[in-house]
Amino acid sequence: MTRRRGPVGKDLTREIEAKGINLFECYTCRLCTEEMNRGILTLTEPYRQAFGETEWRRDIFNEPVCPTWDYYRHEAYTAYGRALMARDLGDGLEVDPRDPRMREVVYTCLLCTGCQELCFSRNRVPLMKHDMQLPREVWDLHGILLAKRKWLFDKFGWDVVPAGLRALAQRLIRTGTSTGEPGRAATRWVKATRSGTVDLSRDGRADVLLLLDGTAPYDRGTWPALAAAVRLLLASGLTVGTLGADEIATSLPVLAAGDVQSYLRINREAIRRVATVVRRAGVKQVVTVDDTGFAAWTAPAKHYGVAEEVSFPFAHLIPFLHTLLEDGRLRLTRPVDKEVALLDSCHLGRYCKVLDAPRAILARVPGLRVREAHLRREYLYCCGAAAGVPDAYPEQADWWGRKRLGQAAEVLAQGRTVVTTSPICGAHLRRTAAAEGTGIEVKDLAEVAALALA
Amino acid sequence: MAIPVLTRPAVLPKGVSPRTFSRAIREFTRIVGDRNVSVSSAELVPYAHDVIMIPPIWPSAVVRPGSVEEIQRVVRVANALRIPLWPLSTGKNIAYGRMMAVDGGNVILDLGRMNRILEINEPLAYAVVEPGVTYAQLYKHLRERNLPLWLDPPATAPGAGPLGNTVERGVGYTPYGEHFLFSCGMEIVLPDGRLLRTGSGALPGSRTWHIFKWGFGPYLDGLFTASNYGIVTKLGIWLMPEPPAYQPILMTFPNEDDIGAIMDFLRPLKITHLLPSAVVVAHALLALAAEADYPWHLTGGTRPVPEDWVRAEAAKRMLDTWNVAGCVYGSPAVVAEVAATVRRKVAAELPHARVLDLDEALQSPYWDHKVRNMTGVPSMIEYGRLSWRGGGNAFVAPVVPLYGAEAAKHMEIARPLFQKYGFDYIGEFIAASRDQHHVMMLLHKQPEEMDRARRCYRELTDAFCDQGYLPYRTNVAFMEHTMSRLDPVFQDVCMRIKEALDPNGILAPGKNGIRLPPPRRSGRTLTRRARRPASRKSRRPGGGRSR
Repeated sequence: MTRRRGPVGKDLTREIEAKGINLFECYTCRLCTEEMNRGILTLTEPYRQAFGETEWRRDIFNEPVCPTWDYYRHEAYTAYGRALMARDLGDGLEVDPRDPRMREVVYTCLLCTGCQELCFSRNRVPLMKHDMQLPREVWDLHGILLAKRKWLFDKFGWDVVPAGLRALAQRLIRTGTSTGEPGRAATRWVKATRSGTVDLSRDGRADVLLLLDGTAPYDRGTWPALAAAVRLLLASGLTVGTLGADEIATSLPVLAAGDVQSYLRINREAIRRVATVVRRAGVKQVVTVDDTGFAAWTAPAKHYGVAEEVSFPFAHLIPFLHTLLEDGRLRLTRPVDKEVALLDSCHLGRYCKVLDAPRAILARVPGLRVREAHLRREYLYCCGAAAGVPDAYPEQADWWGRKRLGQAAEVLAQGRTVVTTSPICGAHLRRTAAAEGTGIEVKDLAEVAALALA
Repeated sequence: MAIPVLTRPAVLPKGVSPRTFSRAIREFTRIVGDRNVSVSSAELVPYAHDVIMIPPIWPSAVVRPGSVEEIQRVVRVANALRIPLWPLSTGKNIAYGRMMAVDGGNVILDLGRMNRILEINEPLAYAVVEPGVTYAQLYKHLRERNLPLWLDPPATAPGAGPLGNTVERGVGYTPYGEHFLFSCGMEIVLPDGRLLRTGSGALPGSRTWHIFKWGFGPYLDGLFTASNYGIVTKLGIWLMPEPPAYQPILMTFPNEDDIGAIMDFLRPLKITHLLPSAVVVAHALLALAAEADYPWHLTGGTRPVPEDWVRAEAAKRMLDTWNVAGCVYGSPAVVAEVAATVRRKVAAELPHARVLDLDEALQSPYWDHKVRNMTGVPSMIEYGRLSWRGGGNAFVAPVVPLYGAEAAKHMEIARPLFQKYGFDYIGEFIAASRDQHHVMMLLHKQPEEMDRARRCYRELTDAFCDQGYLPYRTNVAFMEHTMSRLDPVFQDVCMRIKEALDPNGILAPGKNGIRLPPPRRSGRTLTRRARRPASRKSRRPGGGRSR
């Protein structure tokens, strides 16, 4: 490890500054890390929505919001430390790609954007409401963290990426599936669950093209959720198609590894593939079940998203189901006598701000008693499933999973059911719950909603 | 036990060979465990930075002990191998250096893992805390248990801790605002690894350690504040019993030359404790810097912010040129009576004053923040100042007698110097019993304005010292310079104490300007020449850093 000033990292600084981010904008307050004082946040509308008129007045919770800070309790494992590292890399700090601690600092971050949501600097502008013109994005932690990974990958290649994440990302690049299975494995769930979908990779037409992405169809635990999604769409009078063996994978782990070029190529190719099917099969709506896929295709270019390239009607399953409910095309009438704890997902909830739709859907399920974990909505605590972290750092991911399940169990009076809005979170939490023998059952929101179909 | 991968750090402790350093790291790892020793540059990053006007100061390693016993063992190893240690509590001494050491190459001793609240005594209203306890943590602890006790948080409090703040002689805003005054009983790991308990705690099994300060014999606690003589590992802090009632008094004044009248008005109220809170008299720009955008288009960064702009922005926020916040505490009847008395006096003696309606004022983030500060609630709005010019801040904090004329004189010294370097005067006077802390913020753009800010800071420090006003605190880049301004006898005594307690000079070298000269061959004996106090010329701010 040596440190020297030089032009080595200037391209990283340029990349970050090109996103409109000022690397010196951090207040060093660490609100991004440990939610020490909600005084400032209580002025925001999202915060009031999340915690109501009474709870937010508690003012200080002193609860960690950054999972890696929570686990390591080390300043380097915070958004603050990681952003400073980007600044130092730009300023000539050299790192050894084989240094396991350096890798751990960089790649244990779940890219959950919890830091971003609580960041005082970022929140300051809308908070003060006094004719301030600064764009909120002037301090964009997510943008910095992604740019840093890209820079490390561009400089060191796969050598710098931790083994588990490297293997996962390379599987996705090579095969388009998280397990490395051939694409035809994406159709097994259809047969197993006898779901009435049309395989649009061959022929046929459908109203809705249901995208399953790179994880859900290869994880048996998620198949009931996929089947439930299909049942709900069919119950709304829609025909449902899938890409069959041509299923796409938006491949967040490839982005997490820093291989932005491959990530963009994969997604552009996937968009082209979907667009072709949409045109050929008369698809009216493309719906994804995958929250990271939804984020990828709605994210701005500065987060290496491809939102501008999506030319077809594109939605996530949950807001789409909500629309169907609102339109009266979907009816949930059968009572479900259950108490469940809802857990928002980072990508869908916090990043894409799909927060009301899950609640609205569950509220339409007769008899269902919905509780919410204390850390909820934008202020949720990541379960540890994202960004390939369970593959790279399984011990840490399990720790976060247990903690998140504990937060859910805390608010359940009798029930033992946790509802997630992401198949990736669901799979991770299911594994954690099973390993722990907690007796907690983890269900996807679609599964719970489908219970209420007549 | 796994030993962490050790690649050679770029910055080794001065005079320590790579081989000795590697041995030290192995020893530290055996004591605290491999997860708690960092030599990877990625893990050192946060320890190299603050928002002050100097480039990063890189440590050689970070060691994070989890107990007093581990600290003792680490210190003994450091002493044997002559490894400099820089202890941190929560590491939130923002704008004074944060986690940075004075020199590059120190091993940072991060005590953040030691974060237990060891005792809360409700009837006697005190707490005993470890170094890693934060104000937010203690606040939550008290609230969750519905204990009728208040903290006294500093302005940018939540992540900072009462132990570190007290040891650095920080201040707050309730009647318990002089933190060292309201501390009682320390436990200290000495540089040789022995454990010292001060005050009444010197008696084994003492039952009065945290309630009777003076103990028997010399009162030692002060030696371990703003110094580098030991590592404070436990501290008793007195907590303010929650008063039955309180009444904030908030006022604004339109003219800059009102400052004299304001401070003269406050003196009798403070010295008689009629207004027991610290009374903050803040310039408009101090509040605006936390809330408004810096008007680059009007100043180009080289001219003062126009007065018209300040007035217009201040008016939007219920602020004016000077903004005064104090608070009365007690029974409802007493509070009502005292508040009415103060208001009558204001009406009679301060014709320019505008007394604010509390409910209305609380809609303004600045006033809300001030009321929180005075009522024991940590708040953090002042962090917003960091974006005023672009990430840089350094506090200049001379202490002034509580006279109006003295405050006015301070303005005369400060304002032209800030202007000379293209910065704005952003400051506040905090009235204590007999003095006022004149706390100014040198807000600058990083990294572009660092050099200019450094020169400005030095000239400000010298200008105030020349006039007999000593800063009560300064940042790591100016500690040695500030010490060089003090009387040689004072410096010599500081050095002799250092020599007596830490003959190898391993603990926080240069902290508060106290640094033993390099050892002669014997490694221990100081010559008369070596003991000579630091001269002003020989101590450049930031000098001696690697990079």
